Order: sequence, then structure tokens, then C-alpha cells
Amino acid sequence: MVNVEIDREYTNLREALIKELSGSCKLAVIQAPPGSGKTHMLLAVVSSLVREGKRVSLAAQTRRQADDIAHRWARDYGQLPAIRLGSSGSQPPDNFPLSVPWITELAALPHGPGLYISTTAKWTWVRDLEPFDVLAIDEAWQMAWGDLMQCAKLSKKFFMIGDPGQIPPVVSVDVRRWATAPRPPHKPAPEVVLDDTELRATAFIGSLPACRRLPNESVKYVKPFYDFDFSAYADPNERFINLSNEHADQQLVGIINMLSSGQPVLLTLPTPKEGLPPEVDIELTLRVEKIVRTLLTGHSQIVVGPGDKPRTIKFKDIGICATHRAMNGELRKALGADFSDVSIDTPERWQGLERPIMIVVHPLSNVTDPSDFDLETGRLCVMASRHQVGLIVITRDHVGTSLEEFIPQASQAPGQPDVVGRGHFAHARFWNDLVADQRLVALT
Amino acid sequence: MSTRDIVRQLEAVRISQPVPRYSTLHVRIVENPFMVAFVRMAGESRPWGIAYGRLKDSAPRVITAGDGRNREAVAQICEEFGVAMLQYFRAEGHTFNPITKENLDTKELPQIWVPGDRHVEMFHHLEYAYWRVRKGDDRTQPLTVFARLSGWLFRESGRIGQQQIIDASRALRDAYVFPADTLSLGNLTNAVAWFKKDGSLPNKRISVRASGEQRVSPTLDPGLDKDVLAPLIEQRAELLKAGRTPTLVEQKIHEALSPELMARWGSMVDAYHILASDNRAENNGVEKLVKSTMEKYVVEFQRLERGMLDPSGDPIFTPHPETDFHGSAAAAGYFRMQAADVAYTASLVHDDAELCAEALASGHAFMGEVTDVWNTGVGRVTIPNWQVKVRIGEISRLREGEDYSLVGNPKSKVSIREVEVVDEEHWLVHIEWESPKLKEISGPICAKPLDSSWIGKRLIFVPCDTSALTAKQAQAVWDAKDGVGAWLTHGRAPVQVEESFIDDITQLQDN
Repeated sequence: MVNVEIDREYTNLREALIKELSGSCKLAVIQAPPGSGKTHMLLAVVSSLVREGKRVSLAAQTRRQADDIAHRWARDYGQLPAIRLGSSGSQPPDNFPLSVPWITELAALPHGPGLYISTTAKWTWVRDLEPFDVLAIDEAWQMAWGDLMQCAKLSKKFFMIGDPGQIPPVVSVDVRRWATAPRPPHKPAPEVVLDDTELRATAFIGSLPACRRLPNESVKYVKPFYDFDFSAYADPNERFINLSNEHADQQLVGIINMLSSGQPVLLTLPTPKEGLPPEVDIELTLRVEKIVRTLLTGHSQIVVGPGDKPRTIKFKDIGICATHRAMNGELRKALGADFSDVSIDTPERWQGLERPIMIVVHPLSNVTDPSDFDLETGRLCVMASRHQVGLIVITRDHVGTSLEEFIPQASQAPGQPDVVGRGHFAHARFWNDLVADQRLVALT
Repeated sequence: MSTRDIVRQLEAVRISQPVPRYSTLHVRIVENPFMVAFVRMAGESRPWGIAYGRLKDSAPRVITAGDGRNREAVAQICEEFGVAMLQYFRAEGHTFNPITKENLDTKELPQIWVPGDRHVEMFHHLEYAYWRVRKGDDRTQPLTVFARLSGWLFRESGRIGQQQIIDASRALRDAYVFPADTLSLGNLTNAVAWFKKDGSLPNKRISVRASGEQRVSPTLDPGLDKDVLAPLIEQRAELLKAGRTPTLVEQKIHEALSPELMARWGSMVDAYHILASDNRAENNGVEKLVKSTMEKYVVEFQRLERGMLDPSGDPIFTPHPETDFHGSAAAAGYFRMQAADVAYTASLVHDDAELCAEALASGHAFMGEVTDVWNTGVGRVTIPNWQVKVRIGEISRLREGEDYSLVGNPKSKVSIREVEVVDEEHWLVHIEWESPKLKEISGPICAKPLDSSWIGKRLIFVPCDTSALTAKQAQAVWDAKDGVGAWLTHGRAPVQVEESFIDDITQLQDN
């Protein structure tokens, strides 16, 4: 699909959503691939509803996301009224936009049209409030059905938008009791809607047409994580990275320059004969550190967007992600204070964020016998879809063989989809596609 | 597996013995619990034989059916067992002094032990077998009440921290780290064998492997089933066909099943004695867990049974064995389960140094030195504030706005107001005391939060018990049923299992 068509489809979807939500439609569910402009779409639709005189409540999944939405609203729709409902006794963070008043008491909320931004956690505690015209839910796949149930008093109409490939809501308890429930309380709210034939029939369902964040050549590696099709918005060869560093390890320089093609690079280290380290893989940590130093100390050029001029790679251009917090702690220690602007975090906290260059530790790097949890696709999907220019996946070299030899057991309840089998398939596909495209480099 | 787990397991290997996992025991070991072991015929879900009784009885009562496939015969043994269980659990209508909200006493916790998780699942099968009654039937007949009690126990078994149904195998694995892989420990005889005192690691492994040949699962060994029991079943059928009473054959079947039941019973009793003779004290937080277990029993089982006994009362809801088809019931149950999860660690961590160390290692707790104490209250209001210098370690999860308790003070509550990065290894954490503000708290010293003697003290803060808030969400789900958006969230879901069924072949083809 060419960009003109993508833009047209995007506009058509926005207009349709405005029309539906202004009219009699009570439920809209929009699936979005990573970096496809879902918050942009959400705010565009909501701003039209506010212009029509509607009161719209918006549920974000974290305080950081709620604050980010307030910033974007102030920047793009600052003339339209908005409120940020904070937790009791809280203060707005530094540089919070003045055009979005920070209110912590329900009694102080105005009654007029506008956008009322808060977190799901806050909205679930709200009682005795005049219902809103629409409840818009950002990152809706991170909201559990049980949480949505508590929001029933907020609004008659629901607008859910999110990325179904992301990590589902955290479940820390035994939920086998509800595995076959018609409305499983622990599942993402939009998933419950889409699995229910009657609700589907009443809903306006759509999907955003293209991934804007990733380089064109990276999109195909992420598609197997999704049940719907989408295109790449970036043109082929649009993004660019180039590095020369005669003092650095030339194998690493070569690897970094491989990113110019837009495809990810898979780096492997030999699996130790004595077994894999349990949580922290020191050798792998040191390799990541070396890659970061190579990126930042050489003569580099990077182009992130169309029309951008080549510029030098900066600390803030680089993100690092590993599933274990201990591993992230070790990576932070290895990089030291000089590299504190390089963001390091877990995939859970990388959701919704992006960087030109991402270096990720494969989630199965220290796992030879993956559990259902390990094979859940959300983590790998998030890790593989944060970069705008280049993605380096680093891992121990057993992963391909481990996936090949692993026989997933169908542990799901009768009638339920085979999530583990699907996860195994998506993991294997991601790995095999990179190998087939000759993107695997064994580190020496 | 965490690094701490690996260290513990290496120690277990070094001494060829299981080593304690925590500093205290997290389960109440009742003095004379009710115990049960089942056996069943391969391919059947209902029991063929049951060994049950109290620990201190001279011997368990062993009952068997002539044929494990004969529903009438199996129902008879289940009813006998069921009545004994209902009496032990002081169920409404089956005892002169049922457990009620008013007479609830944590010293009288009814606790049932089973050898392993497959025996826990038997309660699910028993619920499925006997819970349904036809319209007009007596819903208070013992077998039906027993089915509901079985369902309650099975559901409760999945709630972390519950103290009413003890899976002996799981209890051992929770209390000790073994010099063996987790999979093999699923067999209770394996786990018990590791506690035998003598022998080097290789010898112990051999003896553990030999012990493991005794099945603990309710399903009988296929060899025994085929070679010993199948011919007896055939003989019994022929005698019945000929119009004769198969008493002698049934006696032989009983004699073949009894040793199997007794072997399972024996392992379970061994596991009980291992835990009962453990030198570690019961964690102070267990009393709270026992209380909440009994309160749940009263509210979620006894209350409904009392309603069943009232012929003039409204129809009483009976949970479906499979799932909660009612959306609000499902969500409320889920939030109650979450609340139990939060309460579990929060209850125990204050009295268990090892659990506390685990919380620190995983970043759920933090340790720091108090560097400043001041008051932000105005006039007569006191709001104690502390500044704590924290070495962040590798995996701190500290976030502004989160609540913690000072270790050793389960009811205390502090809120993180600000986190300031000092350098790559240290943070300054500004905490505000929410409770208590004026009373003394205990730690290395006993003083009020505003006392400057706290300066220089190194303290541990653990996650606050927010289970009451989570439990409120269960009620919030029900309260929202009249909301304008309830058409979506609280509407009746279509129950069409057949239509939504995705068979294995379709799934394989799709992939």
C-alpha cells in the first residue's frame, strides 16, 4: 500500500469513528499495529467530539501515559478544555501544561464539555459522577475486563484503541477458574469484546492501516505477532545509519552498518557448556556495553525520518531492553553514569515508547525449556517493535535449537485458543526469518 | 529460578538433605487434621476407594466399591465419606454446632490433608458428579451438600494463603528446597524419602528413585489394574450375571485396593510429621490467614447452606463447577483472589527474615538509612517525614506514590513522595508517614516517627498490605451493575460452548 492510500484509509477511519461515536454507535474497537499513531487517532476523534459539545473521559493505563496525553492535548488541541484528574493529594509533574488543570477532588470537576484524563485505576474508584458521553480507552489491550466492569457508571459509549500485540494485563493469581468463562475478568477488555459474537455485532471494529515507527524493512518481522494485516509507512531505504570507528572492534562496526538495510540483526554468543547463567548474563552484558560504546564513540550518521538531515547518534537515541530486572540493573552498572541517558528497562515499561536504535536481549536467551510465560508473545513483540532505525537482538546461540526441539503442550482449557502453540510459532518464525535472511551474526 | 533459589539448592545438594526455604512456616499445622487419599480406576473420574479419617485415629477407614465404574456403588462410598467430611467441617445441617460468624474460632480450623494435587482435583470431580439436582429434589441431601463442599474446597485450593486444604506434596515443596528437580518432587514419596537421615547423595538418589515407584496419584498403576483387578471385575460381573452375590470377589477387590490406599495415606502422614516436627515457628501472619480462611468459609459456604435449609427463603445461588458464567461473579472472584495474593506476602514478610531478604532481592522491598526527620504538619497536625538514603541495588522497583510498611510493623504505612537520584548507586527517598503519625513504631529502636533518634538507622520497608483496597474492587464490580455502560460490561453473555469450541485439528491446520 502506498502512503497516499494509507493516509486516505487513516482519514476515512477517523471520520467513520467520529460519525459513529457522535451517532448511535455505543462501542468502537480499533486494533493498532505498533507505532501506528493510535494516540494521535484517539485524540483526533476525541477532539471532534469535544468540539461537538461532548464530555469525554479518557482512561490511560499508567500515570505517565495520562500525563503524556495531557501534554499532547495541550500541544495539538490547547484551545479545547481538558482536565487531568490526579490521585488524591498528588501534584502535577514538572513542566505539566498549564492549559490542562490538575484536579484531585471529584467535587472540583467541571460539568461542561471537554476531555477528562485519568488512569484506569483512578476511574475505577470514581462514584456518583454525572455520566460522560464517551469513555475513550488508550492502550486498551492493557486494561482487564474486570477493570472495565468497574467503569460501567462512567459512560454509555466506549471507544477502545490499542495494540493487541503488546503485553496483556499482569495476572499474578491462579485464573484457571475463569479460563472458560464467557467474560474472563483477567483478559484484555477488547479481546473479550472481539471474542463475543453478540458484542462484536454491536461494535464498530477497525484497524489502523500502517506501522509508522518501524523502518519499512523491519515490518515483516513483526507481522506474525498480529492477526490482522498492516503495511509499513516508511519508504524502503528511508531510514539510515552509518558508522566508522577505526578504534573499535571492526566486527561490531560492520554489524552496526548492517542496520542500514532496515532489517534487525541477530547476534549470538556461544551457549556455555556448563549451562546458562540464571538471571544475569555478564558476558552478554559486556557485549551490549561494547556495542553502545562503539555506537557513541565513532563517527556516526543517522537519519530517522523522511527529509531529516544526517546527524550524529546521541545517548538518547539508544534504548536497551531485557526481560529480567536484574539483567537491566547489570547493564546499567556496566554502562555507568556517563551513559545515564541511554534508557534501559523491561519490555513492560518500554510499551508506548520508541528509540532510533534498540538493543534487546532475546527473552529466551537464558531459557532452554521455555514455559508458557516465556512463550507469551507480547514481550518479544514489544522488544522487536520499539526502533525507528535499527534493532539489534543479542542472545545465546541455543535459542534456534531450543525452539526447534521444544514441543509445546496444549495446556489451555477446552474450547480456548492455543496461546502457547501460537507463541511458540511466533517465536520460531521471528528467529527463522532472521536466519533465512542472513541477519544472524555469531560474535567472536 | 532466582539466584537465591540456586544458592539454597546448592546447599541442599551439599548436605544431601532438604533445607528450609524460609525462616518460618507459612502454614498452620493443625494438631489432628482430617486426611483423605483416593484411588480410582483408569479412565474414571470418580473414586474406587477412599481412605479417610483423623490423623490421630488408630487407623484410617478404608472403603471401596465393588466396581469403580458402578455409579451406585461409588455413590455409596462417596456418601459415607461425604457425611464424615461434613461433620468434620461442621457444615450447616450436619452438626449441632456449625461454624458461624459468631462462634468462629481460629483454634478450631477444619483442615483437610491430601497426598498431592491430583487428590485435590478429585474434589472437583466429586463436585461435578453430585452437584446437580433435579427440580424438586432435596438440595440438602448429604451427597449434594458434600458436592458443594467439595467444589468449595477445590476453588479454595487455588487461593494463595488459604489454610483449609493442604496438598502434602506442595506443602513440603513450599517449606523446603530439595536437592532434586521440581518435577520428581510432584510424587510425594520422592519428597518424603529425601528426609531420611542416612546416606550420601548418590545413595539417597537411588533410594528416592526406588520410593518413587510407588504411585501417589489416585489413578492406579496400570499393571495392577490390568493383571490383578481386571480379572476380579470380570469375575464379579459373571457372578452378578448368574444371579449370585459377589461378596467374596468384592472382598478380594477391597484387599487389592487397600494397600494402595494405605501407601498414599502413609506418605501423607509422613509429610505431616515432617512439617509438624520442624523446628521453625509458625509465622505470626499465619493467624491472619487462618482467620480470613475461616471467614471465607462462613461467607461463601456456610451462609449458602443455611439458606438452602430454609424452605421459605429465596433460591440460593450455587456456583457452577466449571466456571463463573455470570460476569460479575467471575470478576468479583478474580479480585478476591488478587486481594488474597497481596495479603499473603504482606502478612508473612514482617516475621520472616528470609522472605524479607527475597523481597529485597527481587526489588519489591527496599533498605536504606534514615538521613533526616522533619514535620510538615501545620499547627497541631503532625505529619512525620523522613529522608532515606537507599542503595538501589540491581532491581529496585521504587516508584513515587507507592505505599510501604516498615518491616516488623504490619499496620504502618508510608508513602513515597519523591525519589531523587544522588549518583548511579544511591537514591534519596522522601517518605511521608501516613500511619502511625504519633504512636511509637518498633525497629532497631522504639520511637515515634518524628523522633530524631531514627537518623542513622538502617531500616527495611516492605510492600504495604493493600488487600482491603483490592477486595473493594470485588464489590465495585457488583455496584456498577446499574451504570449506564452496564449494557456492555454487565450484560448476559451468550453461553454457546459448542460454537466457540475450537478443535485441535482446526488449530493445527491454522498453524
